[in-house]
Amino acid sequence: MKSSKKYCKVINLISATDDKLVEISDKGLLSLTLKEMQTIKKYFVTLKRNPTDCELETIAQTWSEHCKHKTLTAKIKLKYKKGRKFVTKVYDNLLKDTIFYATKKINHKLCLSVFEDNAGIIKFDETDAVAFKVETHNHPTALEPYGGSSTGVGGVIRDIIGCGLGAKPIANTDVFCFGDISTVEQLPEGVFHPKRILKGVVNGVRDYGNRMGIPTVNGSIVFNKRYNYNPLVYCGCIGILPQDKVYKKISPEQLIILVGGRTGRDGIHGATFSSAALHNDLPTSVVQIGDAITEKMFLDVLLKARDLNLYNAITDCGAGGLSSACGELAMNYGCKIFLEKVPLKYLGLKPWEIWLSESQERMVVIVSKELKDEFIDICKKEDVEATVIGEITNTKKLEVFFREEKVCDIDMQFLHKGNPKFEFDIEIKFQKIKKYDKNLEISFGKSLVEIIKKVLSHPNVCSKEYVIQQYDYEVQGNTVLKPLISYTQQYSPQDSAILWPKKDSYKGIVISCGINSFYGEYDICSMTESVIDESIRNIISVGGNLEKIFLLDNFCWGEIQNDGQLSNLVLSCETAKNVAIYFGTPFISGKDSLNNYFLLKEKKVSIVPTLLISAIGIVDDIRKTISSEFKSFSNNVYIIGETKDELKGSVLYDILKKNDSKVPSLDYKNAKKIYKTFDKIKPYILSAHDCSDGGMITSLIEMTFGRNIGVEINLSKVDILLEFCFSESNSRFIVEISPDNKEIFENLLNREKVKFMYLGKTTMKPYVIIKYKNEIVCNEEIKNFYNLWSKGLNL
Amino acid sequence: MKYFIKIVNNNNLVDMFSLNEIHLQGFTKVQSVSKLKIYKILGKISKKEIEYICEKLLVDPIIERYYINKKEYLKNITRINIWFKPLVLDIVAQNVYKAIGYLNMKNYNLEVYSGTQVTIVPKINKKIAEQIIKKFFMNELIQTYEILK
Repeated sequence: MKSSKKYCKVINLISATDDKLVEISDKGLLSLTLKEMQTIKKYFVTLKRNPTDCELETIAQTWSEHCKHKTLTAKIKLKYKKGRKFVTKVYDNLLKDTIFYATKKINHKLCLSVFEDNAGIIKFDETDAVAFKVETHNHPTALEPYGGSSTGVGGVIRDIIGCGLGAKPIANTDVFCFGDISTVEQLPEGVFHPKRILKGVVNGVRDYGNRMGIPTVNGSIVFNKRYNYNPLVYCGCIGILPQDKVYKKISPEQLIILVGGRTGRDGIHGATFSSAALHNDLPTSVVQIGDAITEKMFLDVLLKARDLNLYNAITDCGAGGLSSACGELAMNYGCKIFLEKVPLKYLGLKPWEIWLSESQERMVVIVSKELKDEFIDICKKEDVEATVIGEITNTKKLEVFFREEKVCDIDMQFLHKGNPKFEFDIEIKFQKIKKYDKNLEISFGKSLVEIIKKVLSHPNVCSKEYVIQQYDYEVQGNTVLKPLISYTQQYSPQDSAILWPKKDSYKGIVISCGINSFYGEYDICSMTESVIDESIRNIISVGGNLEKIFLLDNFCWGEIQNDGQLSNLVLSCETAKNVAIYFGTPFISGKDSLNNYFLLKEKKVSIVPTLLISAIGIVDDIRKTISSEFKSFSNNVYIIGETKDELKGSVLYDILKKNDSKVPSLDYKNAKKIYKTFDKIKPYILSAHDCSDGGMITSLIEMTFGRNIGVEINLSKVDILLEFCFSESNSRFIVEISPDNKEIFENLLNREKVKFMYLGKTTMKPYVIIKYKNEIVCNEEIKNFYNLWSKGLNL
Repeated sequence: MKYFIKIVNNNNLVDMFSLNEIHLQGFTKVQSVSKLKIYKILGKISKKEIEYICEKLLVDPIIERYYINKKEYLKNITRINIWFKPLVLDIVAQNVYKAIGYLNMKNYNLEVYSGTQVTIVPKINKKIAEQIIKKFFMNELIQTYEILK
């Protein structure tokens, strides 16, 4: 390449000192470490030239935490105390040695493409496959809630359109973590109040999902003041595609076509920015704004083109824009890109800006020369812009041109494999568990009804109807089990969503999630176990089968350079591996978002470590779906599973401001036994609901809402009433059984040695009645509980 | 030509959500607050054609009406227009522009901008108006505002 350039800047790297290298990275918002800058310098020293701005930016995007998962793939030496001795464990690649390892070890026969493509793909039936991806969009949402969340949805939908040879999106999922909505303190400049963030986020997700004609069927919202400065937004999408369209078929001389929206300055540095801290001095360009109409138009065209076999590969322009999309597609071959051909929104963009722009609603498609005209014609007919911008080569180089000038010439090997590996030495210090205060009742001194009312109106427990009803969860006509079910203008929340994507069989897809914002504060291993268990039991409770459940992980952590945060991440990955292997539920996809912290007067304020586990399962017969609302009166009500003194991190303890006891952990053996047995007792279950936030009593009351059917239970056998009612122990369900099936149901559970307890009966009288030691401790009309539960968000 | 279009709800709805939040944050003197959609269309186009665009694209005739270049009366109220900053994608305007093309006005060289107009009752001083607008109605990172005089 020439040493002087007309259209791009040459950066003096080869003679730069270490200080200068750091300055170049900081000033350019590259988020590269000194070691990485030194590696880049070394590469260009061997080439005997300096890099262009375009080359440096390309490397920074490709090596960003967002694209490369540098921390999760790092080499980590972990030191911890076992007895009196220190033990060291080494992970060569944390992700490979934990999450991937679990998937490899399980070797599930239904997995088709895992951790390879834009989404994880599993077999649905003999001919079709299902793709699932969950992305985070935290930093953009903190800056612009509406734009950030809508582009989060748009982005994950494009991941599904761009996986394999293109899947048809059939459902969205959305999970949010917001700060304390009752915050009254003055927030720093540039930080929005959690209520405003919530409203903007919900509007963004609603507008994008609804306009795309994709139902939003599952999700969760949790609140914790530790998210006041950094909200978390997880957007998921599920798609269906034929099994013969699961793999891309790229070869040299094929053309690279850019499809969809035009390119502007929006979103530049999105990938590198997502690895940095939030502060109040960021450029307008980091904000992305979505356009669902454009995305819907090219979705329809691309599905048509896919079925006509008009293209060989497809991917979306996500973080890093064209640089990542083309760089990844052509990784094994090389490519030539001509940036002057890229359609622009306005003039004046520099080559590197065109190359890196994260303008939304763009896809890159690889088409053979013979089919180019047919492909472009079909796009034109639907008013979708499609432009040839380059071709696949066999040079193993990424070559980018602007007019006659070569602005980027990097070896693919260096770009994708040349980044220095991160290495960390960490030590784990285990905390002592505080002694549990058994005199809970005495210390609180309030009636059970009062406590129940407080728990039901807690933001993490109360109804999310305000949000759910804004989403179209029925569009496409596949939603069998909806997020809310009502026969009486009172809604019972459901544990999972079930979709019926193909009407020629009764096979279905079940989707759920598990997340908790409190457990992570105290015990990272128990938090990890609990959220995995929650996502699985949510699927089991609606009729899913443990043998056909697949997981997705999304780790959102705070400032990762902080030892405590990193060791927590390692522990979480290790625990996730163990649980997945034990249950035989492989991870099929994932995405991490690290460094979620805010710079508050030089002080770094991190979020609480948060792991979202999304689960997807295949059900053989959607007609056997079990919903959560009580079906009729005079039926028997049971709790399956064991309730333990696990109140730490519970909703009750958040209300009481207590932190003794233990965080709910997982009894692996019993949990698996319960889930396997659930499959056998399924035919006798009329309704089922898992016990999670708010404990057994919350689940029981939620089951009464849907049909306004009352319940009368006797807890005289229980030792500590509040513990039994509000402990959030894992692997528990409340089930409703007809008296006719009492014997067979109880026999089956006894035979499998599964712990269960008869609670009482459903009643025609719409009341929740609880008896304890010959005393009625609760006798409340359902509608009183419902009023509190349904208005808890207070927006 | 330069056209400023205001889309008004027939029932002059009060934005109760924002009003509650404004009161909660201590701006208790605000009696009412409402929001409406505004557009700026620049280019060689007649008023009649703009009326056609309003009727076909911008207004829901059942619940809304429109005004073009209407003089603002600011007695006892504070009115603020919020627009996107240059280079920020104005997706509503972009789709309006596209839709104008579908109305067989393809060769019109127009510039379209969309925004929000906030009306606060009563008239408040500039500093408080700025505080309210920044806190509840706009994102300074991507938007800019003008307080009407």
